Amino acid sequence: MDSKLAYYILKRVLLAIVTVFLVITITFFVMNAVPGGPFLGEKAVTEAVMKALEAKYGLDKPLGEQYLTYLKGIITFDFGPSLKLRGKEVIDIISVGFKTSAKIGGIAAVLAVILGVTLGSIAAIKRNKFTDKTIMVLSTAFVATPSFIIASFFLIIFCVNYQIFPARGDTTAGLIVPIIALSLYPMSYITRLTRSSMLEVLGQDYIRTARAKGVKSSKVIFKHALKNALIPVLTYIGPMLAYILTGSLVVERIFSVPGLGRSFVNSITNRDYTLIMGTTIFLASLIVILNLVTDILYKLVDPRIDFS
Amino acid sequence: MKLRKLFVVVLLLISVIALAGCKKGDKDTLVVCLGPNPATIDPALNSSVDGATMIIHAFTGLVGYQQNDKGALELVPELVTELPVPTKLQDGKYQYVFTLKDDLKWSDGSKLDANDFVYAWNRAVNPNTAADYAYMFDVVDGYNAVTEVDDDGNIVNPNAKLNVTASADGKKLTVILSSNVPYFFELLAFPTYMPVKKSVVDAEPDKWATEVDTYIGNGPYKMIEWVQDSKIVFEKNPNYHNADAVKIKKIEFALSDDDGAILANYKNGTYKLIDSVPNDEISSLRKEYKDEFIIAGQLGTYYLNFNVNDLSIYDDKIVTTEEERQKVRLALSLLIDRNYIADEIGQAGQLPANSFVPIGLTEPDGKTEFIAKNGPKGDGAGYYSVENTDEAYAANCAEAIKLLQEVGYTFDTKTKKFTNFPSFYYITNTGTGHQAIANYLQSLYSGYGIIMSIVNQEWGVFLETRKQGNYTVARNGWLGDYNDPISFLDMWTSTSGNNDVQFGKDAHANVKIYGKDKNQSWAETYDKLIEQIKSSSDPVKRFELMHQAEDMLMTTGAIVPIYYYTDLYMVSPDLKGFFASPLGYKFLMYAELK
Repeated sequence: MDSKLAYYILKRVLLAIVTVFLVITITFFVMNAVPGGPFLGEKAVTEAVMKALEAKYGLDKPLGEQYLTYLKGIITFDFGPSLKLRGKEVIDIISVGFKTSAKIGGIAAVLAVILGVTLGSIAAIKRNKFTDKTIMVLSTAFVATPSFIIASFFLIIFCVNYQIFPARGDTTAGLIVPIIALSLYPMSYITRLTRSSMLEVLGQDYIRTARAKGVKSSKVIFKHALKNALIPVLTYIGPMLAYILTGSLVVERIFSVPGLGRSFVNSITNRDYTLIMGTTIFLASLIVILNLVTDILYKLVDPRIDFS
Repeated sequence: MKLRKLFVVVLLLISVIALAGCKKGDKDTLVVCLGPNPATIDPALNSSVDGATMIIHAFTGLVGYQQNDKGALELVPELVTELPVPTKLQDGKYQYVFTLKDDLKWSDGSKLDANDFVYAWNRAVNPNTAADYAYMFDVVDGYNAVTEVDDDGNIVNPNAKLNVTASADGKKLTVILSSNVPYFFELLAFPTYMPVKKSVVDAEPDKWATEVDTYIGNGPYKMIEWVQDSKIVFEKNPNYHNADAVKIKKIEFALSDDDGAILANYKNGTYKLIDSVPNDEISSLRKEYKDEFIIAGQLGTYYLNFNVNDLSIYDDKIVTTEEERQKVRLALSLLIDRNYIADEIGQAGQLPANSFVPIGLTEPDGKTEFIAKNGPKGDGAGYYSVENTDEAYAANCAEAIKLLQEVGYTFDTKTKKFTNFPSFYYITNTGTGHQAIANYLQSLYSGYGIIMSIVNQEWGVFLETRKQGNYTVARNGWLGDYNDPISFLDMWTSTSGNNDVQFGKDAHANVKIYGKDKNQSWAETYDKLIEQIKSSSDPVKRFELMHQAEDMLMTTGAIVPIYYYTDLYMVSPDLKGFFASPLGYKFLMYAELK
């Protein structure tokens, strides 16, 4: 690894820490400024109970003190107990939820990349033929349709009308439809991206030279064209993972997948302060790390990129 | 060609996995979905209906519910040999002595006795336990001493206990109530009153109810698995005192809050009982699943309420006295067509409400409905007519116009609109049903020249705004905790945390128009009335006073009942012997899968 890259990574890691710190601070104060509280329900609890709860979770202390205590906790990876799910630790809720989310998100991402690149390349090679047009029409349709519509549509077709898959996202078989629903948008996007960059690359002089020199067609495509055509696709991986993370909030809900998305959304409605903080920090860190990794990959694939 | 082969292989693989996952359950396992991951299933801490349903399967109290031959619910002795008759003590308090059945056991096989109740009840009521429903014990002697806090919120008597004792052999439980409580057996069947095992709770006060190993109960089932946001699985408890009556071996509570997904799983036969359906599908489901779509009575009222301390809705040059404000509120209430809301917006069999205390609560004779004696005349006619005829509604509207004119507002008979009624805000929380009612009210009032703006708030914000009294008119709803009208009346005392109307608070504390001579404050009259009801030992007198309290509430016009709630659920014809209570609890312990 050259020193420029090392310096770059160091700089980015420091920036990432600052970013996450800002996220923590802003979320903490905004969350506390929003009306409502974790112990407020349709039915009021007695004053004695309210006081006891606030004391138990340290919410009776001044906000600044609560903030400092929280920061101290984070350094030791102590995210505290959930205020709403009695007896559960935030870290446990996140790790259980994330395992499921990562499973469907990861598979969806891999599926999107493999199928997207394949279909995109086929479309580029079969340019303006029937195959190309079919792929383009479908991918345009999937890019344009929001994931919650696709997910609801799949739920009705596959899980209710034909009952091929269970409608419960907490079973292995039940994860198939959510994964497909989640991967369609990024897959279609990658298809379109690959097709256009592939077309551009295929028209370049060095490809023509290779062909003129009698290199086999498959070798031209896989060895010479695809490698360069993939650079724009790589840049999309960061945003794609972010999309899958946020898109899964909706898909997880529709299929009752016990993922992190559900905990995240519910924590806000419930004003479960510790869980809001925990999930926000976790997701923010994840996105920051993913972006960093993408940028480094970018450099590795295209040596022309200069980090200085 | 290669691609095609690969495609076929992938498709086959997917189908195999899918089929493997398609276990539709057998006769030994019942899968139901009653709600999302419960916040807690600790009997003391729970306050949700779905959590309560799980708890009544894992725990059993002194008294329980059973369905009789006619399909009606009955309170029956569960852990006790019989339901005792209370004796009045010299100091006016009431004593119950319960004799426990022999050989009662916890699900781990250890012995359960009266001391477990003494422990559980004192734990539930201790402010440090922070139980939402701690106030359910306010009928038990000693409650006030236990819960008393000073101005700084510190507990005044940390060593105080409820007046509940176990005999030396643990066979008898003696409970002293501060007054006669006709609904005490109902309370005993409530989750908060169920016993918990001291050794497991003391070892892990917060976590014990989240782990299979420590979640030890005494009910028909015991928990064997809890997968966060996915499912809670119960298995038959062989140590349950009435284990022979329990037929289904396993109950799986699927945890979800997406109505669409829940319905999909009901339609494909995975779930046999679901407790929620998408609002916009109610009318089609009622037709399509006639015998499976159940609309049951529920103890609750959907209502709007005015904030008595917010005067922005009154023109201060025209409306100057509290009596006039009452007229304005009553007029706005009379204009509402409750039948339209129930039939066209609710569409779930809701009954238009003409009183705050809902249907389903009975008089001391146990038969006559409380609402059959409501209204200013006590004849069950309610506080206004909700008869479903054009004439009745027209009469209400005419009365409303008259009231507003009396107060001094100008009604233009040509345009049939008021010309000088100030505009006002209505707050509601997001939700299709609430929004639809808000839209109806807006268009209704604008037809009379009254401009109402709708403010939609997110649930947490809405609760806070309403509690703090920072609104003019708000949507509201209340579900009773037990089968007694006091559950709907004691929430309106000036010290109650549920008094969203702000009766007797801030400026309204100084409004002295109540009582016989119309010169007393809310605290001096309504609070006293509730106190009297709570200490009354004569059931007939007690109910008379409760009707009086409701009369007083309704005269203020600040509470505008819209409809009485119904409990909607769908139950598969495969599930027999299942029943539900008016509190919305679902009883599966005596059910069978056909």
